[in-house]
Amino acid sequence: MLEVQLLYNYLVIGALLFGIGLVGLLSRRNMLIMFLAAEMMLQGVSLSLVAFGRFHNDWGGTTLVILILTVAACEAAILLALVQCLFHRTGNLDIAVWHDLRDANQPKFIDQEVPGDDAAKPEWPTLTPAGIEPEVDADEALEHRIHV
Amino acid sequence: MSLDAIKILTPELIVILTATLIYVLGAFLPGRHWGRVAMLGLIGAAIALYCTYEYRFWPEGAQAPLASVEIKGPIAVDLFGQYIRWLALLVGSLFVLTAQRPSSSTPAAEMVGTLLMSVAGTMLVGSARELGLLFLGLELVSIPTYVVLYLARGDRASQESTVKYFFLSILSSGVLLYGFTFLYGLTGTTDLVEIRQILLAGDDTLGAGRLFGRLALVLIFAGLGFRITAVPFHFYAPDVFQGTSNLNAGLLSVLPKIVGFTALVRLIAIAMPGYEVLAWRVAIVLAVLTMTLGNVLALWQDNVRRMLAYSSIAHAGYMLIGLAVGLAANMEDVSSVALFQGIGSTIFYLVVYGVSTAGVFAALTALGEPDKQVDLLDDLAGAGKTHPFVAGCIAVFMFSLAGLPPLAGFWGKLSLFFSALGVDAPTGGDTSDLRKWFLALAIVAALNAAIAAAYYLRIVGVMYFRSPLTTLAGEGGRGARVALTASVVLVVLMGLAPGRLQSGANKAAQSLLPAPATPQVAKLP
Repeated sequence: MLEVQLLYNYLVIGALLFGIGLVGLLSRRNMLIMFLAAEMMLQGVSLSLVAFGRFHNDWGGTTLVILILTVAACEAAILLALVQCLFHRTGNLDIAVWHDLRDANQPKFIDQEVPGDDAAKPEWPTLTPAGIEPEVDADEALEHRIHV
Repeated sequence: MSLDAIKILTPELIVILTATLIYVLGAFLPGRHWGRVAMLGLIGAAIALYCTYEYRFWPEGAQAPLASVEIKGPIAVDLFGQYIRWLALLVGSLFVLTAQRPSSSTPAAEMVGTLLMSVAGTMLVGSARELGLLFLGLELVSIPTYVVLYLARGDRASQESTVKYFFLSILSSGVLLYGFTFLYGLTGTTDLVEIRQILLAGDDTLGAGRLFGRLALVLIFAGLGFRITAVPFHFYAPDVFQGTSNLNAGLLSVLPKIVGFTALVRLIAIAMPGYEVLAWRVAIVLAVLTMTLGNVLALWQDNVRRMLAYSSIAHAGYMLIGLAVGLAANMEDVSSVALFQGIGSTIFYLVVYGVSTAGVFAALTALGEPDKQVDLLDDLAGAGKTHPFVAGCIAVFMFSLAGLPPLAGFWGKLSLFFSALGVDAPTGGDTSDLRKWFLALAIVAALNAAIAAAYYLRIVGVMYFRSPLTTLAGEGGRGARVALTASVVLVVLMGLAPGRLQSGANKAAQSLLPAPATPQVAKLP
């Protein structure tokens, strides 16, 4: 029964990927990360399909995986277009920005407020110049590009 | 063989080609040529409809255009697939007509083309008999839906509804695919006919007993539960309906239900023999929860689309009754008559519900104007006086959805309830438990029909017995009026003469099994 045990190893990994993806999709709030988590669910499914296909010595599972990849690419394209439009409107990728639609006279469900934009601008570190800036030879600059 | 596949898929190909043509021509059409675009879509749908009848487009070996043909491969040639195709083309044409005057921020060509793509997906699901093709068909319905939802209007609410639908839809696709995986792993083939034969033979190579089969069943129910808005998976529907346009709400309440129930029938009722005991229990629990919650919550709504979203949830519950009957009847000790009646009444109800709902949303579109649509129930106040024809049509649709005789909805509900009451063992056996369950189901369903009447009649009451608060523009376009008139005629005709459609649905259900035993299907009064 060695083959069955091998199959189960792959199934366990597939189930883990699916589970982690599911938890990620449900708990993350950045739209891109949520989509990546959904992709991870699909990877778990694909791994299980390939393992089953190998076990049964059948190409059906692998074919299905190729179809899944194609469809996932379509969905990614749509998501990117959608995210861009949404980002234009709100300037935010947080999914919690979108909670206007709900039953009348129901309060908003907010576990944690969306961090605001008005935080003070961070001070980025700067490099202190080391040494003297070399002089540029005008003749050489004509022959070689200084900045590549 | 490959030529046969193209022949069989001609209607779908024509719809897809029409959509592509509309996309391309849309780039050259200046300004607002909504009418022409919609006409092109309709012509495509009409040619596709002709092709489903035409003998030349049937594979070799077909005696008559509507006979089932035993062919190998991913596409089923049977009456069930045809029935779903006709239904998809019918409601698709109604939606294309309704889309004739979209809001000013909507590109008309893209809207109609994308809509036709999802109609093609629905047709494909109807005749898919293989896991891969079924998955592609389901995605061909849902991916255009995201685009259509986004294109509906340019405002924040419609964007929010797109986000909500998108993420829940990919979640449901993932869950459904995981179910497919276990179904495939159990049998080692993706062909549903072969899966059925292997499960009937019942050899277990995996050493996991029935665990994988049960997992597959539950995951498939969960994944398709999102599509049909069954209750624990319904929560997105009210928000999405509220945020989008009336046309899209109609689209979302009809097309996903058609594909969801078609896939459930093909996957669970037909391809998974041996798991019925779990399956019919799941279906009954889902049915009771879905119709009760949908109907009760609809009572409190003030937004028309939100109310109709809960109503669409409730109708999914009614349709699950037929599926539960079909599943319970699949067991050896129950007659196969009930199987076909259960599934037949489900797809008959799909037609009745689809036409009425498409009509309601066409009417709401007709009452609004492109950039200001009807949202609240209060908007409809007094419509009976200001727009008597449209209001009268809405009243007819509401009576049909509530199930009042002699309209189509009455016969749909009647056949569902009768199929639930008809579950019985022909040859003794200990099925008293089964009978009790279905009796209880029928009673709950009847109570629900009474609750539902309350909010349907509330809409009628608002239209006729209140004075108008706002002026309704009634500028939804000629197309919406044509669609609404066509649906009202269909609803009344189906109410007066439901016999042929109903027997057609039963025949379609009989054509599902590879070797039909020609059982006697009892006719309803």
